[in-house]
Amino acid sequence: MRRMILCVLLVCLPIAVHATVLVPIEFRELVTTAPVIVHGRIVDVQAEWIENRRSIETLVTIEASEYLKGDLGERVTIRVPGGQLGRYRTIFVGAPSFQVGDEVVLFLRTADQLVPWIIGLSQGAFRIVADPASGRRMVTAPVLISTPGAAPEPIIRGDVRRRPLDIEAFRAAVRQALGQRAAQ
Amino acid sequence: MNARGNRAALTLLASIAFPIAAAAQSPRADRDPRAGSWEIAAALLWTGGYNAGSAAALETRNPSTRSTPLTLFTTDSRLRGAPGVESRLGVYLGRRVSMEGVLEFSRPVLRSHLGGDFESAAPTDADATVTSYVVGGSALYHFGNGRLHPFVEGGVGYLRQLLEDHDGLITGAEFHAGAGLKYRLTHGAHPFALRLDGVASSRSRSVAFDQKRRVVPELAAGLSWRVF
Amino acid sequence: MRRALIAGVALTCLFAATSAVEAYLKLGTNAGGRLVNLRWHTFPIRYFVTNRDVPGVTAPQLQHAADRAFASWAAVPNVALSSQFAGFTSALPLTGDNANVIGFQDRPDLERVLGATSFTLDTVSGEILESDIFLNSTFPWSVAPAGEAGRQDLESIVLHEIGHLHGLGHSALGETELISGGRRVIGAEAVMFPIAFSAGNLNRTLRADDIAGISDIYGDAGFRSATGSIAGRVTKNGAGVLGAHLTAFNPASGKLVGGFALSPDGTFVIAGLEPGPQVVRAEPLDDGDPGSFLDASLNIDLDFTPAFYNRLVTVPRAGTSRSIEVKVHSK
Repeated sequence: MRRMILCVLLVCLPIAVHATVLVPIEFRELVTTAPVIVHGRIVDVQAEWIENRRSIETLVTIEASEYLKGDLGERVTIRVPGGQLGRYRTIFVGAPSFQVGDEVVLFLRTADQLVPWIIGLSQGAFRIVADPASGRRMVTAPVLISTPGAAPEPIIRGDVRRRPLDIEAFRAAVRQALGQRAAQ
Repeated sequence: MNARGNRAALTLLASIAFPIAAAAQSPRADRDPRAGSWEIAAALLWTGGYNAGSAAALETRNPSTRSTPLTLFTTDSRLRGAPGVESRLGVYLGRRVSMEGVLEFSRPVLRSHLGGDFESAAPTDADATVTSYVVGGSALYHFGNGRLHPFVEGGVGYLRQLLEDHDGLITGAEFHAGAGLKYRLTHGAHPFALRLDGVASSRSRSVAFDQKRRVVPELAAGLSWRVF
Repeated sequence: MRRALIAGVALTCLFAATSAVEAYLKLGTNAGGRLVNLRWHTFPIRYFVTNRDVPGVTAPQLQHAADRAFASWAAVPNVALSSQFAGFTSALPLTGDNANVIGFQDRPDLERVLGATSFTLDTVSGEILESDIFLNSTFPWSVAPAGEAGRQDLESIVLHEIGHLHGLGHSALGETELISGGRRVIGAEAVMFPIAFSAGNLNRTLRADDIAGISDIYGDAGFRSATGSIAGRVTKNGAGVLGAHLTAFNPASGKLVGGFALSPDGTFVIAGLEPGPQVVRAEPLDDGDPGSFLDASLNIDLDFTPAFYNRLVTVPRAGTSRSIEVKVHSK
């Protein structure tokens, strides 16, 4: 029964199976190096063939509620490796997946004539979900911020000082990182 | 004095005289064990504890940080001393020498102290109950005369320890040597005696996280009864 | 069109069942209406290598590194894995071409990705039809036996990716630290930890956790009869904790094996363990992106502090321990 329940749970949700080796990017570097930081809601997810129908990627469209950095307009479409098209599916293990209706903050990079993409594959994607108890909109992934020039600091699992940020605190962290960068 | 009075006087005299006569003759009436005498004994047992090994949960270090392994947490384990029971069945080969079969049972606790956690998990004692049996034999040599009989003993046994939930069986050989004494409490051919034993038990294998020979003390106090 | 290639799955998902066999963090898929492990059923796994050099590494050197990495996994006792180099190809990885391709590629959209694995699956059987390994050509690479300063060790990364190719997910047995402008591994006790050691360092040896994982997928009867598992729940105030990371430690051998609570009721199984008493510990995955291990859309509970289980758990041979309850507390 438990197996069935887990099956149903996962079928209802987009699944991202993370199986890559990433070079971690620290939050401050993510903020300062991303040309675009957009907060919005996913309004469209479309898979398409690329490279002469040899691979599938997914175009994800975000309706921006605000830009914390840069501006790509009211709606921005990004490219994510992998996706499903009819009976065919390319699975890029490690790529984030999205559903229409998801609220996200995405750190994007663009290049000439290329559709924007998420920095660091999944590292530049932060989901916003409502806390069941308080109703506050919370950023689900931990935000790790180093102190410039400080000695290496172990990241302790279960550290009571590290708590999820709500969207307002997340915005403030972004602005603080941008402000510090400007000051430098 | 009439006849009734004479009988009463004689009865009183006999009740006094016979015990005195019997006491005067007790070294002979308390018959020493002889070849073929059987004795049973039961005792409360205390088996000492021992260090069951220390270990560290290590992670391979990124050489760019340091050269020594990262310690996630440490464990220090001990098999705690525990009470138990033992029973013995012996046969005398002569007045001084006897052979015994021994059965011991106890339920010590294997306790691991978990600490030094990299992420500050609270130090914890994690226990597992062990069911321990020793089945063996001993040879005893008795000294002394009268009520008090010190003795020395030595023998071998088979140790069987079962971890909690009856999984994880440890077996091994056991050698023991020590001394004790018997203090006769009653008289006659089938006396009860107080029996005290103290031995050092050397075990080739026992419940622990590092396998090595261990010597544990055992103390027993109980009663013996010479059956015949 | 790939007529001979039936590709596509309705869903790819991580899953766990309560049996001792289905215990490790593995890649899975919904195929034919049922959940199946991503695993190879036909051996040897034939692979091609993209005929493209990068600075410091030639295509033949990449092939040799892949060969050694495949051999490392195949050397695990009681698993029957094998591979076969099928030749060099002009094809790049991450393209649907009916071939398992390992190669270097320049992908600007995959910055900060050292390596990645992709799959093409049969929706009917769940069989892996194609799996590619991408290695980012923008990073400096090395095949030096002792490593090379400033360059990523190729064999270490390929060893990790081939673990994924075989169907393994990530291990959470590792610790990291913040450094100025970044984050790095302090220590890891699994090749399948998602973050590599710093450039210039090697991580080419499979650990107990990796071995338990691959054995959980491909282990034979000998493996199952020689090992056991620990089962239980992680709870907080009586409720299950989804996404807790569990560690089983054997003080006798020093081996660490991890597991995850993959059900909303906090149920977990840690399999592939040596028989005997073990220490069990639970912790949250709140030191980075929990999506490195589990689906980011799951309601993973990160709000608790690490805790030990307060009893030694005896792992039986060829069986599962009594169910335990590891109680954790909110931060």
